[in-house]
Amino acid sequence: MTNKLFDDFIKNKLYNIESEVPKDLFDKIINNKKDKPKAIWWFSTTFLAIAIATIVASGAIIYKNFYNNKLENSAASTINNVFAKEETNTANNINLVKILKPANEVQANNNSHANNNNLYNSLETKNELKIEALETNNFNKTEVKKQTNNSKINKTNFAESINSTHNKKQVEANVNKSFGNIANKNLSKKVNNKTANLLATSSSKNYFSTNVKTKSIGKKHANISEVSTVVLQENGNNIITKKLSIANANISIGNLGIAKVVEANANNIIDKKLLNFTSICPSANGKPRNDLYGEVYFAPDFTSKIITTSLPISQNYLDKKQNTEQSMVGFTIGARVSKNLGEHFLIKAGLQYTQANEKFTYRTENERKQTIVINIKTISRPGIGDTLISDTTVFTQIGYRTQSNVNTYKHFEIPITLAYEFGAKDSKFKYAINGGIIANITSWYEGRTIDTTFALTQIGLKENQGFYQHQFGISFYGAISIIRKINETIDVFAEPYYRYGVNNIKGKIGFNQWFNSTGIQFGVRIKLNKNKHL
Amino acid sequence: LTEQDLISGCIDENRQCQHLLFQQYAGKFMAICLRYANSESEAEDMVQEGFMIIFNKIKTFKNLGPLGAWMRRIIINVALKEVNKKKIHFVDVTNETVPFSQPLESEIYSQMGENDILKLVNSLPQGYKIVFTLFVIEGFSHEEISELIDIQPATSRSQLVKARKMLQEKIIALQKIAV
Repeated sequence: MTNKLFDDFIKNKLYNIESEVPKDLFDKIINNKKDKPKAIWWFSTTFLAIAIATIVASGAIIYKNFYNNKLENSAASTINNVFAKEETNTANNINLVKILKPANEVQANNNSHANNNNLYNSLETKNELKIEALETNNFNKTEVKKQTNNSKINKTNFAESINSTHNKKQVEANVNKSFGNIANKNLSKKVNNKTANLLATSSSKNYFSTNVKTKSIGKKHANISEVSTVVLQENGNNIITKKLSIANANISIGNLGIAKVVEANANNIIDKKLLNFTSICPSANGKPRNDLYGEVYFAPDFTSKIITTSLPISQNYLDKKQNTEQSMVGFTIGARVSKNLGEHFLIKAGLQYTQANEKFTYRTENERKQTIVINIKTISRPGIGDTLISDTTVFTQIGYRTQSNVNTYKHFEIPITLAYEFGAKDSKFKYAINGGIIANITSWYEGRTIDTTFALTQIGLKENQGFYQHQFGISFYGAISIIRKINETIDVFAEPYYRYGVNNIKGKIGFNQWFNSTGIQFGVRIKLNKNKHL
Repeated sequence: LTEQDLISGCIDENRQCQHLLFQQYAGKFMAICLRYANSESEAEDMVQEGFMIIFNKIKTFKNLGPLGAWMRRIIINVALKEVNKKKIHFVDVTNETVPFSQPLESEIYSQMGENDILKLVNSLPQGYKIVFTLFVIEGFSHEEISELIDIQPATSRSQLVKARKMLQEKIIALQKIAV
């Protein structure tokens, strides 16, 4: 017989052969084949939407924060450069005055009671801006009150104006240029040139303080100094009033002194954040914190599972189920961003993957073999006859089948936590207390468990076959962090935590189970907005 | 009920239709799974999983071929998935022709029942059994087998030759006992 004939023979015999099927197999199939509850989809979709909204909102806040900082730094940097140039050219007679006054009490003091003679309005813009030049002698100290809401525009224009100021004409031209872009119809300004006091009024309630740096330069006429004072004043959305005191036309000068606005700090350092409210009124503790971190972390998880039921499910079954499933070490890996809220609080949000593992071991009686041994002995005794002795022994051998595998519960989650961070500012170590929630957005399970008939069943959700039907859940999260500074940008941290799960996995037959876990997150956090403060 | 009615009923998740379909094919599928499984309970698991997939996916059945063949393929895929999980070690042997140790007479085969043959096939080593079943009974080519269970086609060929030889030897041995 050839191979072909042999193969055909086997195929004919076996192709349509049927074997006996367990009677309850169809019921098992039907019981396991249930549609995924719509509520799960609803929860998943909802939480996905919330998660996306949270991420988008966080992104918007972060972007706005970055954008603001960028603008402010850019403008401040321009002004700073301008001031630096001016100082080299004109530093003959410099007086620094600090001013910190409410908005509606603008004053300008003339320490020397100068003989101010001429006040003329030399420049006027289309927007009715008046640039008043105040000629003064010995006018070396001025207190000015300034108000603004639109600090960036003020600062930029101011910088532009100052930047090219080397003579009177240029000043005028630049002032025109500067103000030409600004719609200002309600400018209120009073200048008393005889007393050298400046009074500016505004409807704004905001105020800020500045140092006015006045440089007086005498050239050819030692007793004549030229003062240029810039006053920025709020007017609705747009700005500005600018006062310019320049030299009398009769006096020939080479340079024009310009009043400079500098930061009100002890060292008279020019402030980079000239028009920023918080910067102008710094706290006693220094600059406000403005940190944005990116964090990545890994954590081994030690999970424990709790099963409860309100239904009359056999306690024997629950005990058996728990006995067959033993927790193993799982893990969490994730990334998040954290942003400070004030000096000590940080809000954190991100995305993480968590995998809980458990060892499933189930031993069932597989085979029972009974052996009966009958020993028959015949004892012959003379005169009495033969006696038949029958000795029966029964041996029972039980074969057990042990099935084991690793069940995995995999989750993608969004952790949202609030942290309180403390520790000395320059210390290498900082500490934090964290708390929040972890929202599960999607889950899937793999492995086996036993059903109420103690038969093996798949736990997976794939193809709607799963033993568990609930894939949405929330956990509460609490942790303590120890943060070690590596350098200005990078910190490492260890975060022991406890996580309490709330009803996150639901069995189809009416019980709930959830995981509580402890672990330590090891991670790195990187400062994303390096050295940028408000 | 026609087959089309049965399909429509199953799509509508009609329990009776599902039960009829199950009754019609479960025995055959159990026999198939027994050829791939190590035990009866494992075969049951395969049948159970296979039917759950069938009931869930029957709406995707496009009547391009017989329903039985479509279902059979699903069952075989499920069985092979389990087989692949076990990572069976296929011994790679040279692609040599193994001659029969002794020619067999047709009479010997004709005297054998299906269950006898099934027992003999199941007694083959796992690797031999799977390749032999896929090639001889299910009709897959060696190239298809190589893709299904992730082995080389040459390995499939050699496994088949070995399996065939071993099966024939077992039949001869059985014949001798019978005599």
